[in-house]
Amino acid sequence: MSDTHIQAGAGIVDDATFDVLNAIYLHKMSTAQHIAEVVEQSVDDVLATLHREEADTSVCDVGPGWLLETAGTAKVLAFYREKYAGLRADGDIIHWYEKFESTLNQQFIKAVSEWQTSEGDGKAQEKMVRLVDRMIRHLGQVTDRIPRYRFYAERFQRAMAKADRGESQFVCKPTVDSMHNIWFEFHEDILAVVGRPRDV
Amino acid sequence: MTVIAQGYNGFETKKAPEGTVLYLPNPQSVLTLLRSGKLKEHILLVQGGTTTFLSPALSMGAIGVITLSGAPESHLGILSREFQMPCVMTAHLLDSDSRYVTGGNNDAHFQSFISRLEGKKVRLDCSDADVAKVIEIA
Repeated sequence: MSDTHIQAGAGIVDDATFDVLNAIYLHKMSTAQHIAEVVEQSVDDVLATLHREEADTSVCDVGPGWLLETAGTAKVLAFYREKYAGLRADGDIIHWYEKFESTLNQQFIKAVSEWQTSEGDGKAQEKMVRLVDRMIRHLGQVTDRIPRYRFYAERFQRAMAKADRGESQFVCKPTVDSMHNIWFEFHEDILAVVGRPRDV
Repeated sequence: MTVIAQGYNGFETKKAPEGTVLYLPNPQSVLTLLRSGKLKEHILLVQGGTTTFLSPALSMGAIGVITLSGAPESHLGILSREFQMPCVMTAHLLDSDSRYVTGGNNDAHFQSFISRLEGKKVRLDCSDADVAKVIEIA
């Protein structure tokens, strides 16, 4: 699902391997099933990659999921540096990222907290859904340059639909592909694309 | 028992977890903890309220967290409420005037807190709506 092919070698992993490792990098701990869903590979293919990378001490299985080892994180970040070097020098994408960070993200985090502290108030959920809708449109502005970002839009649509049907865990629960979870993963992703650290 | 530190409360709860404070500076330290099988023996101490590498520990049943920066609206605040895991945020020592300064150099502040608490057995009191306490227990 990655945008262009990068040959393996010189420490840079191939696209399919990056997708699997990156899914863990973004989610922090992932099952093979979750990875397969978000990178659109079969579970068997994902497991084959995981076992190969485990032998290379890039990932480890801690029971509930797979984690990146230091070497695995280095592979992911090397890929981001190589692949997105051009975008990092692109003022438009930086402006796009900064707009996300300063407006949409701040509003969304506030809305999540309001939803949590109101114990799932309908109006608070509507506010989150409106922000996710805006986020989907925002993503649409860069999918020509980062095609894999369309997958975030599709995941957001699925989470919103489930939340709208009353499956409230798809609003914020960390252990399912909830709106907040997808938002968090995207935030980690765009920070890696533009090469910025997360504010503490 | 002495209240030695306090901070913002991630959420109000009657849960009062007890454990030995363990400072986790990086993802590798989390992995080491998970492999040790002693996750539930510790109250986890991290610098940032937006620390993301703690997520696997929360998913695997961490009992309590102390952060040295960040508000209840930040990443760990949100996750603590979802996991219903007590969380003391932007904690400071009660016997010190040192406080976290947004955008400032907080290295000395962080280090004094870590040195004071790491290895100590504590209980978290998150029963107040706003203020959460760290209690040293003998």
